[in-house]
Amino acid sequence: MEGNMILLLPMVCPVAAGIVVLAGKMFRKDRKYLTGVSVMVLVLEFALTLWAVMSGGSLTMLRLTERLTLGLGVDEVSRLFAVLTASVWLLVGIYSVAYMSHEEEEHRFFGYYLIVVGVLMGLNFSANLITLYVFYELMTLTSLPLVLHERSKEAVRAGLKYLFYSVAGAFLALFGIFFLAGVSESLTFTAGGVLNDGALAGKEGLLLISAFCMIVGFGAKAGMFPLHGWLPTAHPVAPACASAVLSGLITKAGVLAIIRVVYYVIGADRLRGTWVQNGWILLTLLTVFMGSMLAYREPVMKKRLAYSTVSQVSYVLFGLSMLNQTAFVGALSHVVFHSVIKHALFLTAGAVIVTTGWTRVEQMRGLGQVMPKTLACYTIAALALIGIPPASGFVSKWYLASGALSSGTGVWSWAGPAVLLVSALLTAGYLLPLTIQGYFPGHDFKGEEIQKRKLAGKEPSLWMLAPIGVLAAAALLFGCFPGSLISMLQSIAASVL
Amino acid sequence: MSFVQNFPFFSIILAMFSGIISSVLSGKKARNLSLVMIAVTTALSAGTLLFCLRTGESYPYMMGHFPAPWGNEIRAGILEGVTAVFFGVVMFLAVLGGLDHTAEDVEENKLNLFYIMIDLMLSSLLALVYTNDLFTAYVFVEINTIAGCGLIMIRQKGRSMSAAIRYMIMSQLGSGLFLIGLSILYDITGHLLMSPAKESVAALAASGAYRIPMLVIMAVVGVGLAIKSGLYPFHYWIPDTYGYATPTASAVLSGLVSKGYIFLLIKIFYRVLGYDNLVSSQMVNVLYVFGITGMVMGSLHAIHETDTRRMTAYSSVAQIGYIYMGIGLGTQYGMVAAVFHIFTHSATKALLFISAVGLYEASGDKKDYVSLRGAGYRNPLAGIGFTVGSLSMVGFPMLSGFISKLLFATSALESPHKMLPTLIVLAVSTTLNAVYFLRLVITLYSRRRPEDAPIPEVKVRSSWHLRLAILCFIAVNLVLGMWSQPIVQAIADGLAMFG
Amino acid sequence: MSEIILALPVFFPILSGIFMLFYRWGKEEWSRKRELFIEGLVVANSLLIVAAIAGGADGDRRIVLFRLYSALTIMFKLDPMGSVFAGLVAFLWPLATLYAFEYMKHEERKNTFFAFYTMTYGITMGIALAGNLVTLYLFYEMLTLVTLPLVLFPLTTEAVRAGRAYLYYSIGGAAFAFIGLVFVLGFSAIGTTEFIAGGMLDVGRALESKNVLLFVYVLAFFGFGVKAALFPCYRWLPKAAVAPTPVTALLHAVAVVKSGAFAILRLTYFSFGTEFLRGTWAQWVVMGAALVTIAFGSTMAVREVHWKRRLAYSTVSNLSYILFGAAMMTPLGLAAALSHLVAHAFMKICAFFCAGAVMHQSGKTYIYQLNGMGKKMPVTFGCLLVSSLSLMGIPLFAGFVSKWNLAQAAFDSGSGLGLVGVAVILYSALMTGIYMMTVIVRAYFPSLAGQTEAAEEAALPGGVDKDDQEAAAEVVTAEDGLTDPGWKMTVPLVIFAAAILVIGLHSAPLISFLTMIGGEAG
Repeated sequence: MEGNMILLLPMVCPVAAGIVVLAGKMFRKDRKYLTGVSVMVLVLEFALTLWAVMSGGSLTMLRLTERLTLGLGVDEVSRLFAVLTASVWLLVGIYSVAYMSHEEEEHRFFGYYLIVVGVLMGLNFSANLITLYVFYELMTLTSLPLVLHERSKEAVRAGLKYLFYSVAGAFLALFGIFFLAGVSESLTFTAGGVLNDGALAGKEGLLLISAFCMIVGFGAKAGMFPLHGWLPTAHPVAPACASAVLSGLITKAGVLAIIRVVYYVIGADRLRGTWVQNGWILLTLLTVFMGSMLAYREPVMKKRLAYSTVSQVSYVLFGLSMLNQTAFVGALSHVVFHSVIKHALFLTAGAVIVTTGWTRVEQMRGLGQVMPKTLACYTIAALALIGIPPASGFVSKWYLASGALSSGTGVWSWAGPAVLLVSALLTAGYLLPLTIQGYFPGHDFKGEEIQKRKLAGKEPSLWMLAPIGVLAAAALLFGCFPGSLISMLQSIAASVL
Repeated sequence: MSFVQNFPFFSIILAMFSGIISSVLSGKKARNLSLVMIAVTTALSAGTLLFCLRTGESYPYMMGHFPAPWGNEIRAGILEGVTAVFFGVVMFLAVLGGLDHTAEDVEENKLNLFYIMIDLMLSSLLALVYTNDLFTAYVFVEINTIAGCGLIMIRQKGRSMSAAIRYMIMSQLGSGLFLIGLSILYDITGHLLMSPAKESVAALAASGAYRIPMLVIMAVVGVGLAIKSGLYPFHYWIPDTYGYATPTASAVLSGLVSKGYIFLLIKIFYRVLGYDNLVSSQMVNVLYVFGITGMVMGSLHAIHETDTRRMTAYSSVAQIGYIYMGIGLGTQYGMVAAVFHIFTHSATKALLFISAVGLYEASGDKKDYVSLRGAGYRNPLAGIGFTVGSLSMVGFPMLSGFISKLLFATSALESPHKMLPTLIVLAVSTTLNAVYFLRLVITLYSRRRPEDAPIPEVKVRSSWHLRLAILCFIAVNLVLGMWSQPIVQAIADGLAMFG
Repeated sequence: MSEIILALPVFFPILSGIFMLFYRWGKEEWSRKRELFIEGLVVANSLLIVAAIAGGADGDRRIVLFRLYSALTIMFKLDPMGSVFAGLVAFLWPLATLYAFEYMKHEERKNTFFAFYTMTYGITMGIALAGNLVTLYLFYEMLTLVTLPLVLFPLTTEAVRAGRAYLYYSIGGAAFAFIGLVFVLGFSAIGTTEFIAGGMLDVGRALESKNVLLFVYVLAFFGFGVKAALFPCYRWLPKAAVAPTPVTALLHAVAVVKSGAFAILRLTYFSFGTEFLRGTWAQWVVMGAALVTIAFGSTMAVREVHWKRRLAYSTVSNLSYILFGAAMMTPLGLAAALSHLVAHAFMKICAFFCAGAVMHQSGKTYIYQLNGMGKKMPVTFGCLLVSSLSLMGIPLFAGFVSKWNLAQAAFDSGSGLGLVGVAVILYSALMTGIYMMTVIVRAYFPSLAGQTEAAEEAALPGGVDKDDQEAAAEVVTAEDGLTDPGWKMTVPLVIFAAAILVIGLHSAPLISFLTMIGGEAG
């Protein structure tokens, strides 16, 4: 243990609190205590994260063997991910207070909810590949109870599927780690890569294979084809607030891991123009298109959003695979925007479920009569995701497309933007019907159910509405004032490329 | 000439005379006489062995004062001494262990006949071991056959009669072939005494004359004795014979009689035909092939048997295969291993037959697997004896079987072409041995099931002689397994004296 | 004879076991005094071993007991690799015995059981301390015999079948290993079979008949591999899961099977020598066999629904990790093999003991019967969780350390098959994730629709017969009175789980020691 101990706090604090909450079931059963503690801890977590981000520095936690150390560190990328995680987690936490009152076993949910954020912080602050891998695995395991929460037969199946894909991906990545450990002095993240040319001589082919394994492996968490299968199964079965963080943040952990591997360990230059890059681009574009198509055809709201996640996270990966600065900026900004937007969308879906019990899109005709404010927030988020200016999605997509056009990757430089465009149209096709039918159900819509159940004007409670509103506002505002974020991302891009 | 040098002759004659005397004695007295006689002859053989070890030489001994080329001669050396002592010990323990059963199986008034046969058997075995002339050998081969038939037939139950007839026919075939071989040999060399015969065979081989007759001799003598000792394709008489005779007879027949013939064969190879001639004539290769086939096939047959006595008998086929494989390796080491395995197998197989007696006693005299279930608890010592015997057969270290296996394997290293087949067949055969012997051992120690036929669930305490015999056999096995070095050395020295 | 302390830990338990077998302790078959006696002697023996190791394990300490046949001596020798195995066994045995007392509480014939259990201790020590191949072979054979009664212990038809299979496979394997022994003896540069780091073949002579020797090496590898459940000779191990759990846990996850792996390490690194073997076709054959076993074992484990048999298949797979390390024939390979030997011992014994604890408390043996037990037996399933994560190779647990070493060794060896090996190990790790985590998930998050699901799973193909289906239909949810077992069972469990964590978090001293061994012998 040497270095800045403050880095440990955002990690240890929620994990400890989570364990206390899990164990707390035995002596305090009342709900107020539980939710109070949880929200307090999340606020504290937000503060601690800011503190850690400000204080910077690094920390060596433990030496597993002589060469393997567990260490934390702060750099620009970890700042971005940490602040994003802490703030969104807090908002969803507040939402959960209201949402989870409709579910059973809240202790377990909040316990693991807190533990997962601690683990995610560890992941964000990881200073080397081993640490990253440790927290990556722990994240899979600790988020598993969130998926399993409902304990229905589908939930258990989905949980196991989630576990299988995640672990499969992790082990695929582990292959690469095994290899990289042999050809580098240490696996500490350094902008531009840490590989040792001498040790690498004659093993270039193997390096490419390893890199591809790691991209595909970590890509499993990010829902990239071919290991995307778990995502549409696992996200919808969880409670909506869990689906939101699974979709919005856990998938980003895969993105973070890929950024770390490609830009901080291997080095983008070693991959540029190789079959790995081409394969990677192909996979991301396939995923983008396929995700949108499936979302378009999916009638169940939460599943539709899950497919949308598959598609959107691959936007990010597509940007990363271009290996140039502009696209990199686009990718990282899409990380932030998609996270904000997708949370807003999932939370809306959750609010609908809690209030009306509707899960399928065609049931939601006339939703505007039930919860006009919520639906407005939804619409803003949806427009942002489609990429209508001035909402945030437009900014990231602009950078992605222009980065692709200037990437010099041959056919991909124009095929990529084309696919993104098609996907944007599909996005509009699967997100907007809810808005249109919600506000304008048509003449034949009598709204019998709404009248019978007295649902008209029944907005969700403020606990739920406020986070949705904040997220929707963020989705809009990021688009209007992207300057500071973009300039920070540009400095990161300049350092790694 | 030292007085000790008369001992071999004395022991043969003594055994024969006690047989003759027994014919007028009652069964019990005949039995006692027989036991005493075996003890005495063993002591005499031991004396001979010590003498040979001290002088480090072998000596011929002329019987009846007819000088060569007609006389009858015996010859004593280290190998003969060791073998005779060993045969004596096994014979003694086998008779001792089977006393009760013999008394049960054999009618009261014929009991002395049984012991006459035992006496004659010992006398003929000793003669086969000591003989130095082919005619004597032939005579005692016949005596041996007759005694063997008697031993089988005297238990007038079950299929022992047909078994005896089968044995008789096969044995006669073997002796017939052997006799033909001898006649041809006499024809072309003019000698029946081994030493001069060898000289003229060597001269013939050097001159290149009589090639084909020599080959015929080798083949006929080899096959004749192989039939009598039950080498694989000629083994059909074995299961019945060993399976239906009284335990003593089974132990003696499988442990000693077949070994006597093999010993004679080795002696003829060395002392008459010339080992080098044998190797160059490919005869060894034929024996080798038969040997390894026997090793596998015998075990396979044994696995299919449900009657444990017959199973043990089939195992003998496999073990005889080992011995012939050792001979067939065509090296000095291989021969040492073969001779050592003669000892190993005698001691172990006799142990198995004798301790099986104790187990059958505890299982209502039934011999199938089902009845034997749990017999190891009902008669603990017999169970241990059988287990030790089985483990020795499987080649468990510290027991005699391991040393034979080791000797076979190390000697196989000397002959490049036969090395791998030998080793692999050795391993396969070991596994097969494990399959049938240890299956039985597990059966002995497993619990009886409710559907099994009821038998008195009391612990059987076998008579003291049976227990003594089992203990002694176990001890013999351990001695062969743990202090084998001097014995192997003696065998090697003895074989060198043959040459 | 001054080094008698090397022979004591071998013969003391053997003789005590024989003594127990024949000595009658008054009228009662079993008593507390007797438990104390056994535990005392096992602990004393472990202390003896510790004392012996503490006295120095540099390989110069030896004791020759007697001469079996010319160059064949029975000899003990304490060298670093032997002390790793000896120390491991010495650590596990007292705890396993403690566990066994509780587990066997309601059984009959305890005396016989513990007599053989104790004897096995001595014989395993004999393998660890064997100074030459002959001694190793001797104790290897004896191990088969002494553990046979333990497999047969339930005396059911199934147990008898399992015992037979165990016996046939082991003896058959030993028969092939014997060929190796003979060749090592024949080609030894020093005239005996004594183990020497780096091998003791007379290389000049060996090269003349290189292919034959390589063939023999392969035979011997498979021969010893039978005990290590190498494909295709693995069948006895899942069958032997019918034995009482202390036996399956300690013997069929550690003592017996590790003896096979240990013998292979001795054969490869200390007899034939890696210099002679490296890069030959023999190396590829044995490595390929190990890899096939790894993949096969873990796949079969996923298909198996009987808990102990599933763990047995997992053992099949994990043992071949060790053999894979052995087959790399590099210093790192040996170190990796040894590290997995140690790590797997703790993980698997822990997992088996959990299975045993559940069986003991509730009689449940199938995985679909475990619904919701996690909450009722928190200690047991907590330890199982640790063991499962470690088996999967999650960092911070022991299993990751050994996997890391194996992968590093494979990359270091630079062979193509080594890379395939890494991939296979990762595949197996994934399968491990499935077959262990399904248990965990089921225990902690019982599906609300448990009833139907259990019936469904029982109908799956994979060897579930009719009785089991009935059993599944009969009891699905755990009874209310279910709790953790007594301290005699939980204490060993907790200690093993702690050991897994300690190795996982702080493996540097162990690994550097193992690397030292590898450096000497590779």
